[in-house]
Amino acid sequence: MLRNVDLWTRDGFFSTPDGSSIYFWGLASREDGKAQLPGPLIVVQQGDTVRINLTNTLPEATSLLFPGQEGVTVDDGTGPRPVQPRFGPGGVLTSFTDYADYPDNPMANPTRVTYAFTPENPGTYLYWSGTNVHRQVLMGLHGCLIVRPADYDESVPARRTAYGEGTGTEFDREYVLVLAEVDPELNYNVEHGFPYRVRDYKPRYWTMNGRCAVDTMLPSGVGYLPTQPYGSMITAEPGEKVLFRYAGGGIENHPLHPHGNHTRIVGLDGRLLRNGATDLSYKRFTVLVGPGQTYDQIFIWTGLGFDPVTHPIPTVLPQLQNLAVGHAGNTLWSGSAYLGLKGDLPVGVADLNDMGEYYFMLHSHEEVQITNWGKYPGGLMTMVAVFPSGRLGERHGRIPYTESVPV
Amino acid sequence: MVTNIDLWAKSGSIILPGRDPLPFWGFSGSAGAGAQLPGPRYDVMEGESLHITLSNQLPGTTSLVLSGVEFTPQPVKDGQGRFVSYNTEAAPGGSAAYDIVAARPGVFLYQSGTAPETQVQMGLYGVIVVRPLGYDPGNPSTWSGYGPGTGTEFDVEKVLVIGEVDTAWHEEIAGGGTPSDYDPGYFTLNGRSYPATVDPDDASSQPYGSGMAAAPGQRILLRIINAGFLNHTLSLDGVTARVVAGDSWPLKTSIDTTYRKNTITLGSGQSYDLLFTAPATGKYVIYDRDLNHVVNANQFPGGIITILEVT
Ligand SMILES: [Cu+2]
Repeated sequence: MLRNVDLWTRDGFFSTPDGSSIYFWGLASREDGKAQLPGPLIVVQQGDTVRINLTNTLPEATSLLFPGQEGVTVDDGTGPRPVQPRFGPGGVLTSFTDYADYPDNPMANPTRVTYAFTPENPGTYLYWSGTNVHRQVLMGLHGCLIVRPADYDESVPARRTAYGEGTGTEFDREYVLVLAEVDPELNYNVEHGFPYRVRDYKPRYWTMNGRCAVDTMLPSGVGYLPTQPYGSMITAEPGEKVLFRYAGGGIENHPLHPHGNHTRIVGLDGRLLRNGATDLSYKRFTVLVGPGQTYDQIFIWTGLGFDPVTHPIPTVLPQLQNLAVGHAGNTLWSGSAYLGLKGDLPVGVADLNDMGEYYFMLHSHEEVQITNWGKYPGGLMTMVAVFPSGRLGERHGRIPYTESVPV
Repeated sequence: MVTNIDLWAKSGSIILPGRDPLPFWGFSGSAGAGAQLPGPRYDVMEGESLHITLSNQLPGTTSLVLSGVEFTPQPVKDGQGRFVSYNTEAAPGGSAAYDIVAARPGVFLYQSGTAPETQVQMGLYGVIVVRPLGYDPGNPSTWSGYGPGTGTEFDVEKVLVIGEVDTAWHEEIAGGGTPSDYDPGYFTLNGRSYPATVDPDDASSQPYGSGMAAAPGQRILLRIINAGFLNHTLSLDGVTARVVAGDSWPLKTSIDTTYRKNTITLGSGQSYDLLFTAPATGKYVIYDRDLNHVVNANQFPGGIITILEVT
């Protein structure tokens, strides 16, 4: 099937919970749309013909790389040809791949190019700029690409998988977490055309799907984060299989873990961890998310001694303060040890718990990465919320079937 | 049978793009030759006994350690009981000898074991490649990284040693001073920064190129080892490789635990062997996905970038 994805590079501003508004370069999925951080989530299927139409409006040339895809072609209006790195005077690299030029270039090269490829392997991939990578990727030109397996069928549990039927990658819900860092100094200097030194790079913000905690826990598409459409709150019911797709969009390592739980890593860089009949998947508590790499994992919450009939409760009682977010005085804790029940909270504590669901943190254990410019809480932190069975609904954690996801 | 390897530790100078020659300390393979970065690459056979003699022409003591090769180090303490060297030292003007067995195949770092935080940064590192039994350099049908059954047969092999250079450290240490905060501005493959990485091998103090050439369908074994102090992440554009060994332990033995990656992170001292089939004709960029390492003193492009040319 032919999948056309239209992307426009654009500049814009994104917000942080401590009140900063930071200039960035991102991708929009409509000509009149806003740049977004990270770029639009692209969902296609194994075997599709994927065409990415990139139009550049930035003040310098730009491009996109599709790591993990083979045989990528580019068409700048003269017909498709294999992508190639571009070299300037003296044979020195100017771009890691064919690019869309900037609009005011007197050389008048095309500002729109079409990349095309046929994904041969299902899984989670990143895409990122291949031009002035030391600046453009850090400025926000990166995003996530999901390739559904050829036999994917959302309505058939055995075929609602990351890597195909029989690969042990069935899921009930799925979540993408694209991680990156922001040094506002770099963004400020690019905004104003000032020089900056790469070696001075010092991130002050860390983003999960383009947002810093506590905004990570807000729903997708909230109106006051117009350039950061993707939330990171993870919701599930007991016993469900939840697919986590971690993707390192930035240039740092990020050690992520869900407190008190583990995941099973089933795929890396969009390749199933299996050789013939040998299952190479493995369990981890902390997954070190490296730059440019992806980690597909299956997570199942059952709770300590959980049994839906005889023992329908988690037996872990959190300390109230562990579930406080924002300023002290708000809590996600239900006030009860029983899943699905709410109990009394101390006077003056604001209740953020909906129906007795159970929350625990998923975050980077490199604690500087859970601050916003030095202040906790912030950065790479979100919550996993376990809802009572049958209460969460079908649409949570279901990324639309096969299309690029509009803002 | 014992193979003698003679190494000299010397000072010299290296060229990094866009700046004046920089003092460094490196190994050379003969009394008359200059120091080089990285040190001379040695090819030895699995099981071979090596008698390594290190002659020290540096102003201070130095020594040799090998990472991943079993040997019994002889740590050295100073008069106040402070630990100063991982292994027997060679005094300035003197020498020291080390006997090791190249017990298993793979790619191994040799480096200074004395004040390594400064001496390794100054350039005292190199690589020994240990060939599996049955390997015959004249017979391509015997070429593999780890021998029969390991799935590491190759047609083209490339060793890439990752490093960093802090030019202020080099000047301070060469001048007898104490270095300040480590803040490298240059990032190297085989001792060179892009665009010099793609130049061919030569007789300079940075003799090893990192460019690669292959024909479509050829099996390429990329052997990456990190001699730097930072993590580095190599990304192969347009190629997904199979990770066939980590730290020179083959991943296919009685079971096949090899796996595929297009981007891989190496911590200090770590190595990976990546095997892939040369794709269609064209140029393929291999670069450090830690994107502040693709510059020379803040200028893009530079640092850890090289190119595979398939023709
Ligand atoms: Cu933790």
